[in-house]
Amino acid sequence: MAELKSKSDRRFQLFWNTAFIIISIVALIPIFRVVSMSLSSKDAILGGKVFLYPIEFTTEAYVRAFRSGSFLSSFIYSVFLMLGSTAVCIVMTIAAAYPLSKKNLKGGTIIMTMFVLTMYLDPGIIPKYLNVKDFKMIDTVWALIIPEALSAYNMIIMCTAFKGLDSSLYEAAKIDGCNEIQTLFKVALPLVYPTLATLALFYAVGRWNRLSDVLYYVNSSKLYTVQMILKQLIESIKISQEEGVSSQLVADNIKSASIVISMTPMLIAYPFIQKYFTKGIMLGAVKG
Amino acid sequence: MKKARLLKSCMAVFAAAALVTGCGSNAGKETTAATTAAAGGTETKAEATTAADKGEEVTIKVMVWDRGDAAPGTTVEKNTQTEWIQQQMKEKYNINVEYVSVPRSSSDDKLNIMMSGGSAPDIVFTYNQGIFYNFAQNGGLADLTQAYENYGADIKKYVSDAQNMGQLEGKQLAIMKQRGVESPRHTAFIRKDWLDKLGMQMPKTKEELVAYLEAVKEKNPGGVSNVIPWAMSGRNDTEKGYLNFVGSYVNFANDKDAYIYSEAYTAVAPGAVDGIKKLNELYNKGLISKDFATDTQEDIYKAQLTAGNVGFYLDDTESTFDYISVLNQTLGSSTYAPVQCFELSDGSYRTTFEQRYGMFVMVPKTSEKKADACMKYLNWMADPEVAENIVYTTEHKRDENGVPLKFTDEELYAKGYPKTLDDLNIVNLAMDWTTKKESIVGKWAKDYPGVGDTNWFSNFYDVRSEGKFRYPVYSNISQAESDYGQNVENMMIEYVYKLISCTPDQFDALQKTEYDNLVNAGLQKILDARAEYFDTIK
Repeated sequence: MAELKSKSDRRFQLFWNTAFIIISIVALIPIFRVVSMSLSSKDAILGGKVFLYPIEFTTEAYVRAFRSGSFLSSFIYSVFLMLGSTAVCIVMTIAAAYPLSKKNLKGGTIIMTMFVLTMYLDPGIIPKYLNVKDFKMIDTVWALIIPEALSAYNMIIMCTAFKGLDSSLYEAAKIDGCNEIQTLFKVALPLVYPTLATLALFYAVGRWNRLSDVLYYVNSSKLYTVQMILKQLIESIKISQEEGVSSQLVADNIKSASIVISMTPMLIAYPFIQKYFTKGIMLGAVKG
Repeated sequence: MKKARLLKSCMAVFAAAALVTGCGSNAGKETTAATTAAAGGTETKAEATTAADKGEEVTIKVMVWDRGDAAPGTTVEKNTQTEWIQQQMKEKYNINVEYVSVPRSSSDDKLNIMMSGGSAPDIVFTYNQGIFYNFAQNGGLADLTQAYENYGADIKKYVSDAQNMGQLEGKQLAIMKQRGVESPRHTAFIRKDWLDKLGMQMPKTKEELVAYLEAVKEKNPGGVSNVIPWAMSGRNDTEKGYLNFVGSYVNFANDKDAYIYSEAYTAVAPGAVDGIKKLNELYNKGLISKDFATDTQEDIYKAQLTAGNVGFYLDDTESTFDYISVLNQTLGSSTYAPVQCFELSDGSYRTTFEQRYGMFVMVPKTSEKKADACMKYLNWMADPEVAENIVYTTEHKRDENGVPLKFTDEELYAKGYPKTLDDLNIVNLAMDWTTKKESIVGKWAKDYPGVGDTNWFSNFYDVRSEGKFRYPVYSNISQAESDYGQNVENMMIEYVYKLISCTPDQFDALQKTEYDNLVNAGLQKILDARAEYFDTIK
């Protein structure tokens, strides 16, 4: 019904459309720049010629990034770690959120309060490290999974989603002879899948981008994620100053190529899960 | 009932998850521990007879940096080179060496955590003096004095120059890694081809330099579109762009002055204001890059250099070789040459050189019992020959100048070596070739063929070494400096940039307010503490 809109309405729309187009361009330029740097020759980058499109096009950087040391193996490992860790996280979240969504759970408020407290009270890195150390998880892959296996924030979203389901559904399930486990798997979970998908994405992105636990809890280089390797590449200039090494250790185009490669899984995953994204968060929020 | 069952079943899921993970990690740990123990056991048996006279079997854990560049299929902890070192240590001293990798880029953070958690390896290291001093002050480090005395003969022989930095209150708390080729902090470069076109001589003084800069601006000898007589960047983490110039206005009456105003603090030493004022004058004449202070990532600076628009610049001594070589290639001729023209008031030069010490290599207090074994390990690699075998592998050859030939990355990978073998060599970088001019020059000429030939580099070596000077250093860091030092250092760079780029009539007033800001941020306290410390040790 566009023709019915008043002039000021259209002006309003035009204004915001333009504004958002500009904002997205601003957000996209750095990405374009990195991509074009990854496809340019080293000399062109040194000369400061590369801005938005590749100069002296070459894919050499990608070949070298994949061939260089542990990048490829750590990339594959990171993908598996992300998937595994997300699975653990989702199981833990459901296991905590489902009982807590029941009004008649004894002590539920206390348990919930304890979960919520962890959102506000952060013990700091050294107590966390000692904790992980005492659980004998230092230098194991579990240190990258267990400590962050449950996010209280995500758990509350999940819990609210369960609460939002009509109680008559549960009653019907009970009358049909479902026990709680069956109710959870057959009735509750299929109904909250948008929330589930959203949370899975949250967890996956969180794991993919998290760096500090890899740095602190892990000693074997085999367990380094791709983000860790990337950090090494990007900060190599700062290091060479400290060490008094003169030449640049890692060329700009290889650095950019590595950044592009590590962005790819998220870029691929987002559009597929995005449709659940807003729906999932809204579901929990509105009905809670 | 239902409630209880629900709670139970959910708890069961929790418990199961905990069990699985707990068991998983434990089981993994135990089996690996068991296998290593078994392996160790058989090893000991096999070598028991030969190793008896080499002392008791000790296992030391050594930190090693990971830069993500180990050969495919290997790790930085286990590759051809670490195996060679392990075998050497076992044969010679009955010491088992294990490596613990630490990501290079966040090494200091991780080291702090490991030290606080009491789980640091037996040998750790950092370039950061503050971290060393902090560990030392809090009793976190083993006293190495005795071990150094007993087992540090080669360290004394080859690396003694640097060792005073590792001492604190008469105790040797760290072994210092010695740097390789002696090099100045910064070097200036000038367009030799433009000088020739202008018919000018290589400047020997600041006055001659200014004459050249003015001529470049007026006559544009390169015929470039955007000529910049003196290019500067706005990097806010280094003084490289101005320190040599400003420093030449400062005279140190004695060692005490040199200590108080060492390096970063030279910019606030008596006399330095005159130097900054001169830069301000040049800036306002349009001789220095316009708005350079906004170029904090030095992107514009780099681009202008490689585009050939720049007549003169000051930078880290070797880090611009890449740009020079791109420019030389584009123009097809030799362009930049090193120059020393920042004369002191008496006409001599003072070129600040890198300190001889590099890293602080430490043994944590928790590993005190293994100090002797750690010292044997460090002492073994202090020998330049061993160091060379570590950095260039045992299979390396030397070229006609005596410079060890480095394998290409592909060759290293094929043989199972990591790319940065230097990381395993933590005591002595001063291998034989690093002390001979012809070797160094030969190596440069080979590494950077695009920059110049042997003559160019020979001249580079001489020019950059003119007026070699090292500030006095001590391992002490005053409370004031550890509290305010970093902030004040950053502010001093801002201070200089602001003063260079203001208008001449604002200069004096701005200098006063900005200096007061520095004092308020703790500058005076730091300077006083430095003076006080110097008095206590003399």
